[in-house]
Amino acid sequence: MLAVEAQGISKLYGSKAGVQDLSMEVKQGEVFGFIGPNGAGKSTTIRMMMQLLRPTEGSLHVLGEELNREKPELRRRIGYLPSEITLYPQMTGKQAIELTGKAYGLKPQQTPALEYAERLQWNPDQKIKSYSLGNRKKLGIILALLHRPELLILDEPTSGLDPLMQRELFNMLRELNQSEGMTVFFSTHVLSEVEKVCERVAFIKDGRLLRVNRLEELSLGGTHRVAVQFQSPGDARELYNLTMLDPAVQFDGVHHHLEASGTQLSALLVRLAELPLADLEIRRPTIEELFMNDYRAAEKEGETV
Amino acid sequence: MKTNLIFHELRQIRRGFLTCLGITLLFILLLLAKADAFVNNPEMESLLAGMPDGLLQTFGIAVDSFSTLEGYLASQVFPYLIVILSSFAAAWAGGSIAKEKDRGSGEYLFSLPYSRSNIFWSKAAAHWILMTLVFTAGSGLVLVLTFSSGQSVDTGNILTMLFAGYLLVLSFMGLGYMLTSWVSSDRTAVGAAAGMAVAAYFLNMLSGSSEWMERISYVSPYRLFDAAEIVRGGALTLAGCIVTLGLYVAGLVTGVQILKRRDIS
Repeated sequence: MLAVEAQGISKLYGSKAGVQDLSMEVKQGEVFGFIGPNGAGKSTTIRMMMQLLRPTEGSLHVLGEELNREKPELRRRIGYLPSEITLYPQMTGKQAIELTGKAYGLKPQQTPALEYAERLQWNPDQKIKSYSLGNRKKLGIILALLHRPELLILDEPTSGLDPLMQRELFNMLRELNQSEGMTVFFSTHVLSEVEKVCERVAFIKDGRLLRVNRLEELSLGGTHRVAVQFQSPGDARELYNLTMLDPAVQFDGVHHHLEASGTQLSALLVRLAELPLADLEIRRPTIEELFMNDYRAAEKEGETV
Repeated sequence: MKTNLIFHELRQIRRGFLTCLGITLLFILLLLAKADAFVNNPEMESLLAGMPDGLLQTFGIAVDSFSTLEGYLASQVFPYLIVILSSFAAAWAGGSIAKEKDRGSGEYLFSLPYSRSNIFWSKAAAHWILMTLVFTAGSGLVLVLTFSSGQSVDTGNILTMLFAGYLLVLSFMGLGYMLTSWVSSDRTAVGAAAGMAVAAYFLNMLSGSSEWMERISYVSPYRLFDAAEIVRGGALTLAGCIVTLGLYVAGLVTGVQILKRRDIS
């Protein structure tokens, strides 16, 4: 059985499309990354999976059940963390846990809430209105995991969390996936997060699914983008023979932009070290660059995306 | 309906409830404490009798209503009491779903394993419980103050009048439910619902000012019951009961049906 199966789903808001003709499958027990820039349609897709929005077209199955009408019992099997979690400001974290626990027929002591609170260093006794974004996020994560769901849907779960807490969250996700076979649907716009936990990843942009890849299939391959500024201003591509290092080197008026991967990167750095540098930046390609490169490459090859 | 959700909603509007209860009891206390100054006061009656008929008609003041405590209750206490309670009732109902959407907590609430109709009915049950509590407390205070005034009154007639008010309040609550699932802004829903309650009161109050106002005031639910007639022994009109309860039920059904069909975003 598939955890999520979408066939040609679209969501229209008047004439504007939030999601267009999206088809994908998420297998049970996998950690699936759903990646795209802000406004790409990630949250819209997730809200359709949570029965908050109805698809305008297409069919959507979650945990084997078709979402053709409201199925509240299905939500017992799903844990959901919205991207911007908003709860009741006058409540304490503890009261929110009690309210959510009762919805699943659980008393707080029957849930792993306290264990997770400790791991995430979160205080349940404060009022929600006094929580920072990070603490609200921690509460949202605990609420989503309270009933040990079969399918965990996380929409931008790391925003607001400090790096230590992000690492703890990834550890928790790995543990739950390995020990309980929990399916994790992980939506983000940060590529490095997907690399840490996901097995497969779907790229979405402008409401359209661009492609779905296994992580190792992605052309990450250690590609780096290098921006160089030399001490003497102007285009130095010919002067320093930069086309030998990267035939596609670009000059934007200030910086020279090169791309290198694997052993090329070492050679490039060795060469640059010999030159009179004023500024140097080395970075991984952004998601946007990565999947637009893949998208263009696929278009050139005439592949069906 | 789920007790978890009913208690949750009761907690959410407890401040509104305490405010409503406080205002209602204070208002009753102030108006009835002053009743001796107005009721059966020949100077007051002659003062009113000397006022132009047009002015009295415009503001719906009947001179003979000041000759008995029941008349005073029907003409001075009842209308204001009902407009206060209707405004709160309409605001609670209007804000019930709209507030969840506006604040963003709807995404959490509607992701829980409760059906949308369960959430809606649980909220409506909580509002009904609180409004009934306020009404019971208010009615109790009216009766206590009436008895303590030493004047002879017909308790049955007063209770019938208060029950008519209760039905009116429910009808405005129904109007709030019609709006709440449809409107995404809490302020719009609450403002429009409470505004309708106040506007209906003014339509009724100004109905005597002209023929045109008289005609349009028929849309006001306040025209469904004649409080002055009821305290004199008149019964509740069948049409009044059907329309007020009909509005309440229609509001609930419309609200839940809209909520079941609309996206939560």
